[in-house]
Amino acid sequence: MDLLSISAVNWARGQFALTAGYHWIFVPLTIGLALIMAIMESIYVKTGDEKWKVTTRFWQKIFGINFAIGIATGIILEFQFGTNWSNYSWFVGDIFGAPLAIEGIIAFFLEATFVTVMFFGWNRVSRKAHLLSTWLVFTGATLSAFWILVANAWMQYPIGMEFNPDTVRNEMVDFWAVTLSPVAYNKFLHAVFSCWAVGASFVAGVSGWYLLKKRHVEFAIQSIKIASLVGLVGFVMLAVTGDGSAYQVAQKQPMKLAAMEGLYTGKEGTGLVAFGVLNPAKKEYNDDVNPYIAKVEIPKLLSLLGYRNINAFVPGVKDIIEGGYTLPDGTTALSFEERKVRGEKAIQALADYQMAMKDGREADAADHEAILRENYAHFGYGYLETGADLIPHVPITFYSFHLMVMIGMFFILLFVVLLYYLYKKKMNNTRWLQYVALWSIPLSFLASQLGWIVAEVGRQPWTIQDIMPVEVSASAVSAGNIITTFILFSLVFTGLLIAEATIMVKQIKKGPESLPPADHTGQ
Amino acid sequence: MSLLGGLLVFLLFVQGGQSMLGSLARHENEKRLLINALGRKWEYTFTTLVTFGGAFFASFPLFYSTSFGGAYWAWMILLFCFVLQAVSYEFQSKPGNIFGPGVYRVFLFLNGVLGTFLLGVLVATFFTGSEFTVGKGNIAGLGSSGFVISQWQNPLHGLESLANLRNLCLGLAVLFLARTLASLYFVNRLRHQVLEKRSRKYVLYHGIPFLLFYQVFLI
Repeated sequence: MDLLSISAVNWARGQFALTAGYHWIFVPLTIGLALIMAIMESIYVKTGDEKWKVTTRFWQKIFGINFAIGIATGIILEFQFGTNWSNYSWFVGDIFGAPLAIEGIIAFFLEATFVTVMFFGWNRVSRKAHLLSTWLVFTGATLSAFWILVANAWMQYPIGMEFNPDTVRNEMVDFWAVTLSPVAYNKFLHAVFSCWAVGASFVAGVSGWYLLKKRHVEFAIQSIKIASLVGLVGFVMLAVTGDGSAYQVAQKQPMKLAAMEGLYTGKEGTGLVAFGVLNPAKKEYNDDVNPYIAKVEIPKLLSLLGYRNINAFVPGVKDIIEGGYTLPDGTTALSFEERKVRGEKAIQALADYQMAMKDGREADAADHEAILRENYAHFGYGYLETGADLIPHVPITFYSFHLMVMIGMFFILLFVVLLYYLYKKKMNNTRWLQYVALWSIPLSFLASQLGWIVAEVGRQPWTIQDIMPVEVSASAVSAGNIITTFILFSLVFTGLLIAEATIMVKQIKKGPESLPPADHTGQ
Repeated sequence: MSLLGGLLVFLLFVQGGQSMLGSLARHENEKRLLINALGRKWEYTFTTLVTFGGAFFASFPLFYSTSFGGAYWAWMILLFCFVLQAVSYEFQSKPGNIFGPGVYRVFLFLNGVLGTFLLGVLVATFFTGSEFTVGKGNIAGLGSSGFVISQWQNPLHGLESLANLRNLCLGLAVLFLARTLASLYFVNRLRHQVLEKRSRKYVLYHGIPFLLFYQVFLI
């Protein structure tokens, strides 16, 4: 039984992708709906209009159905770092575990406490106290996203740590460097706005359904107004924060950016591929085959977005592997082979250190430690074989990125159009737009998933950029065990998704309470 | 960790109550009453468990990686129980529930029994020991079985702990403790004469086994 077979590692990856993917269906809706609910309830408390209370309570019911399954799919993720990625947990747990623990202590307890008040306190606490609870639920959910993104950002850009050769693990030396990492706050903002976007598209789409059925028209108009405002802000801010994230990726993970753009050979003043079809005939990074069958490129835009300089050199896959180009700090980029040599030196130095300490040869150990520290920045390269190992799956990364951006642009347009028709008081009678709003719901969920695919497929082969590759991160659990739990998770989560969907559809069909079904008063 | 561990065990009264849905409640309306009483508190236990796990990861990452990466099946079964619990309160009485309330109540019962019992068994292994190796040099290629630093030596990956009587004792102790706490919670919470009276008796029925199993574990 080969515990560390590629099959076991790939099944572990597949299982994490499955469970994280399922979790990320429900969490954006939780955060997005929490914001929309809080805004609606604020309007209710300000105006005293009972219709806003009915509206709020309806979306709160939907929120409650979704919240539970978000929790159900989330618990396994926290423990999966241990069950399936134990080497990773040993190696970096001192840093990675902290934001997860803080997430539990601060965010989850805040959510758990005030969600109870929110659900059960309508007639038990004052209006303002209840409103505060709803906003605190939103705050808790948002804080939860913050700490997870701090943890994930650290994987992409490891900082604020020092390697301890005695414990063979990285130890946090600067909490604030980890927490306030520019990669972290960019990713956090981008992820949170994506949640606003998903929540908004869901509310707009469901409201569109009510308008199509000519049911609860006033409720639907109220809801779609709030959703459209939140959605427009969300999607515009996604573009802004997406730019920020891309800038960070260019600086810290140039291979990911190259994969996102299908860029194999860099140049100064690199254009951004707005639309492209990759060439499946391109098999090797260093063959002369054109990476694209077709592309529409905006000149110099990638240099501008990635380096804030329209003439900046943007390295492609080949450049990063072969090195020799000038980095933004003026130094020359090392090639893969050069980094591999340094990585192997670091790994060997660690082995030598361990042996020296075991034998009591402290002077030798100090020498080995010095070599280790000198080469530690390239530690992970020592495990890789060839330069091609550095390349993430380019088609998946490229198409996920471009499709996500296209969907984002579509939604900006959609919410502008929705707001226009609402302003002109024509939303009620524009059936084509109601259909578009409804059928767009899956697109926002898709874009949301594609973003994570870009982030996580694009960072391959690394679990920790440059320090630890995926193949060294997994637990010593055989593929057979992981396949079994993979199947169990697939069955359970799919069953729960179906259960949630049927309950939610039933609740939506039932509609908000206390409103007559055939309400044509609308606008 | 001690604080969180203590809080968690205290909050396991939710699981204790779930494990008694079939025994404490004799009729449907009694079951509903118990579920409603527990349904307002289940998230605190869940959140505490999640925080407990996160805190373990942050404070003792070497333990976390060794135990979770090794006792794979014991932790996975425990986690599956809690996954099923998380949706059960919300989904079981909702219109459109395609699985029916009965299925979710079975989930709650499983979470009540296995969630407490397995947790006790796993904690007991901290005292009775487990079969694993730690080779810090493995990651640098010094080991003979790959790069993984901590490796479980038993192919049952945690399930072998069920063969140890002391582990079983603590498992049962935690289960009966949870049921005792649940009974006390129901005594305090419920305004239902019959259930309140039954709960008072259950404090004794479960308190005594808890003490017995706990004493046997300690010896």
